[in-house]
Amino acid sequence: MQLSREVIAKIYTTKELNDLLYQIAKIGESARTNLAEVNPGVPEVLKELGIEGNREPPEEDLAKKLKNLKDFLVKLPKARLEFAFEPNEEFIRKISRLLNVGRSDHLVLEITVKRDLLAGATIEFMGNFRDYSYASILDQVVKEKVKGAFS
Amino acid sequence: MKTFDDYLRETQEIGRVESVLNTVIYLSGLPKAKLSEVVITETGKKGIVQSIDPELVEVILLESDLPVIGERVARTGENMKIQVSQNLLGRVVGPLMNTQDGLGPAMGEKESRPVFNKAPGIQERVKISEQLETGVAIVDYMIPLGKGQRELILGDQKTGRTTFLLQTIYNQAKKGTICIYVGIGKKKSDIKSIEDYLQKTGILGNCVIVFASSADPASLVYLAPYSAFTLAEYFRDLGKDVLIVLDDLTNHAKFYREISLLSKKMPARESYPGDIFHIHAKILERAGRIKYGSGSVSITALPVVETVQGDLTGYLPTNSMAMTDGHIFFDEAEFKKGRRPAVNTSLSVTRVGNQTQNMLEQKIRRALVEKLNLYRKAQELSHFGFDLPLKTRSDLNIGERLEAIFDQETYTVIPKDVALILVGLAFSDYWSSKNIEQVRVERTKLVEAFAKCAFESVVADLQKFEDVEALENYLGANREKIEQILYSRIQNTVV
Repeated sequence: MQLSREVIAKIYTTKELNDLLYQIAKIGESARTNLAEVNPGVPEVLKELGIEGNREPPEEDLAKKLKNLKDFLVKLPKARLEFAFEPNEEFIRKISRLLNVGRSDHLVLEITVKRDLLAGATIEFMGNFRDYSYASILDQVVKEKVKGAFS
Repeated sequence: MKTFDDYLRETQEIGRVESVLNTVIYLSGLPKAKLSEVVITETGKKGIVQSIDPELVEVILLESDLPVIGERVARTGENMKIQVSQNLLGRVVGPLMNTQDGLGPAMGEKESRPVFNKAPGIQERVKISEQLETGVAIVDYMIPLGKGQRELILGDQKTGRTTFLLQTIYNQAKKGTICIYVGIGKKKSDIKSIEDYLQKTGILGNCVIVFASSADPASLVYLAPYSAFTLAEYFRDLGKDVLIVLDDLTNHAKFYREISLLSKKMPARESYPGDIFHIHAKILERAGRIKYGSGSVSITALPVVETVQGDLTGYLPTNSMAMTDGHIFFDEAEFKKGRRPAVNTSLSVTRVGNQTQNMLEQKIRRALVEKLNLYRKAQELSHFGFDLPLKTRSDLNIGERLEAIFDQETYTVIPKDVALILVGLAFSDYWSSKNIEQVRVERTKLVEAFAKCAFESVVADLQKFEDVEALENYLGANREKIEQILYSRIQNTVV
């Protein structure tokens, strides 16, 4: 599936990804009737997604393209991040840019807020897990202290 | 006790539950997971890695509570292990060695041992040279078993397989052998009756019942024989001979088939997966006789496989025959004729047991085979109803008496020495003029008298002989002495 880098780069988190998938699903539904009448915004989305060349494509061709696009988007690699705080847009963009440096494919972030971490974050990517949270450091310290007290 | 978070921190690898198919779950992640490694979910459920493909890891769960999709899973970096100890003797335990008899946990020092242990190599093994007495005369003389042998017990349902196994356990446990009964996919009531029998006979202290009921998850049933062998190896490494009864492998295969079909393995004959032979052979390879100090110790395995309508050519029976050192076939036809045990001696085989018999016993075995064959032929002739020649009548006479001797009441045990006297008496025409009922009565009296040590001198004399003729001559010459022992005791008890 050929998608412009600009379009893909706008997908920072699973939130944007899910929005896009929702729009694609809507396009699929609308294609059976008059596309522009049902949702006037849809042709713009098509254009943005690179399907612009077929403004009035045959129904089958559009359905196939949308399916390919959906499959491509679903298969984008995801990194799960847990933060102790609610990250703002700018922070998310920075993290996304940082993690995507040198990557041929685009990494989508799945962000959750977990206050138990106290501070810091955990990262989970392709089965690897790293815990950079304050909670884990504190936990280790407490365990060592307890161990020391009983030895 | 480590938690999920500890393992996660240690291995720095995480997986997610992607799909749940009963006890089989598929995980994404865990890039360095190994086969047979234990994994733990964040809610504490444990499972074993069964297979690995580039995308997903297949795990069989050891619990009936299923995880939810998306649940986090961590590797433990350890293979499946169980805690074994001497204090498990006399207990009923599950495949994970958790006690199930309501008497609380097994206390004391425990040893952690891998469930999927490797079988001993060829250099560790020694020749099977010592007989394992079952207490069932026909088996001890005609299909002898050796310590360390793997003898398959075949037969239809309700043909007396379990009775034979319990007789063997009783006889061996009395001699100090550690006996492990593995109930695979059995009903709880079946296990309870076995426990009651072992308790009643006073041998439970030398036995362990490992039990996975049909209500347990398929994974636990699958694990039961492996765990039982780990326990057997523990006792073996303490220098004790072990007898392990796997009752039965047909159920094990059925539960493994369930797991395999769930995990979309290609079904082969009778829908069993292609690796069912490997699975059972891997279990039974762990039996055998191995070096121990200057001597040797053994694990004798008696796996049970069920036949359908006496068909020995079924998939599982033929598979199991190929991986064991012989088989004892419990024939429904013999059972219906009233034979107890209903062993079909002509369809039963022992491949290594013969080498454990001394010269006299081997000759007796050959003579028995010959006499019983002649008896069967004579029986066929007798159906025609004409006057039989003297030789045929003699064959019939001795055959009937031999069958009467070998007919054993349920749960009775005939020591090998008694069987030797009984067979010797039959060969020397001691019973030729007595009717079958009398033979049965005298056999019972002889067993009772033997238990009271009345035949010590006779047995000592019999050990010296090396051929059947000498045995016959000796017993023929001592008829009066034997009658005296039998009947003087009766008079004493009557008085």
